[in-house]
Amino acid sequence: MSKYLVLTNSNEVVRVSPERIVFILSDGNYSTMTLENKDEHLFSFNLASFEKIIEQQLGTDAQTFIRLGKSLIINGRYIYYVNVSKQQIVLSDSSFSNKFTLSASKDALKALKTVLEDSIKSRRIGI
Amino acid sequence: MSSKNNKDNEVYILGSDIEENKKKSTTKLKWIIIFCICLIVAIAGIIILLSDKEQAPEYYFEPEISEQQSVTITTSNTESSENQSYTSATTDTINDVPLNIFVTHNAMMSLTVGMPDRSDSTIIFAAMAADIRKDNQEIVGDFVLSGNQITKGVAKKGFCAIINNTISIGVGEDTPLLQQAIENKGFFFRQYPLVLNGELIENRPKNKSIRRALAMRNEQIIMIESQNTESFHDFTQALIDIGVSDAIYLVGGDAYGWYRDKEQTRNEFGKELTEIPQNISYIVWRTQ
Repeated sequence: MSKYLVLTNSNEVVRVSPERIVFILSDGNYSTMTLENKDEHLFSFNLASFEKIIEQQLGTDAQTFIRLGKSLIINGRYIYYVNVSKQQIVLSDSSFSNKFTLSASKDALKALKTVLEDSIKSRRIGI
Repeated sequence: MSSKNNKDNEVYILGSDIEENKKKSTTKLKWIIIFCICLIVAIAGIIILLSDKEQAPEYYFEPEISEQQSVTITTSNTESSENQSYTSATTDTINDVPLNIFVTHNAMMSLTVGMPDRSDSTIIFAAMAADIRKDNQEIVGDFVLSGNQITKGVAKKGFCAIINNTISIGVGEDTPLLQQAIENKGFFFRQYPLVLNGELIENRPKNKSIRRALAMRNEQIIMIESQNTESFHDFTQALIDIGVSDAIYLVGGDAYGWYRDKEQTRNEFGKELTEIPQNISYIVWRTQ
């Protein structure tokens, strides 16, 4: 049975399958979760708290997600394109029609590139 | 991959710590299990070693060098002031332990195998001597009957030897009195040691039962029985408190026996067995 992530705000609960989440963006003490259909959900906790919730609820399945710098968590399954010099990352998949172009620091993208290259060698990450 | 400190250039996979912790805890658990198994094996080994030493039927081997010294006290139970043979029975209570004390007069002790004849008026006291193994009905420990060694073994370290009308009570795995009993057509049996030189000897059975003892007090051999069920410890302490210097156990509980008083009335103790084991053994005091 696939796991669901249950996220609560003061007035709402979002129950979502992890594969529907494309990325989570930090906005100070708030976090915005974007789904594959471009739905957005704002939560009143920061990205570090979001990260903890994902790890607590998904356990080792949380390895689908990658923390990218200070303000971004991305679903590693949907990494389509990374351009370090342009500081650009595109998240996309054949299962959804939308393309999500995000910007990140050069250092973070460089590190991500290394992680992805290493993952090909070690096959350790579930992306 | 860097550790989690949320710098701008930081990239890491979520949940990777969980796997690492899991591995760590699995390794820890593995070592705990290995340690527990080793501990259990060690404890089992010790238990087996101890039980082999103390419980194994060691009846058919030559005793090796004993760490214990055999201490015996020898007495002769002859009285010349009276002609009549009988057993005097008195009671005494020491530290809430009521005791029956039997003293024989003008009699000598020997051993029998098989139930003594109750109609034999020359027997003034009879009580079961050695224990019998449940599995093969053999007598437990060294047993010599009129110079013939019937069984061998030192499962119980207390002993009583009767050689040329001299009774010896002692404690030890290896005693020359065993060979002397064989050579002089004497008697020898083994039981739990209770008192040695006024010192209490602890025994393993912890249950309560009617207890009996063959004891030495004021250089006189006496038999003592507890009126109530007692632990080995409490009974033995009571023996010491009434002045017993040395004692070994006699079969307790419902073990059947009797004594003849001054009026030659036969008084029984214990319960008569419906099926009498072939190797049942008795100490019997007979008219001299």
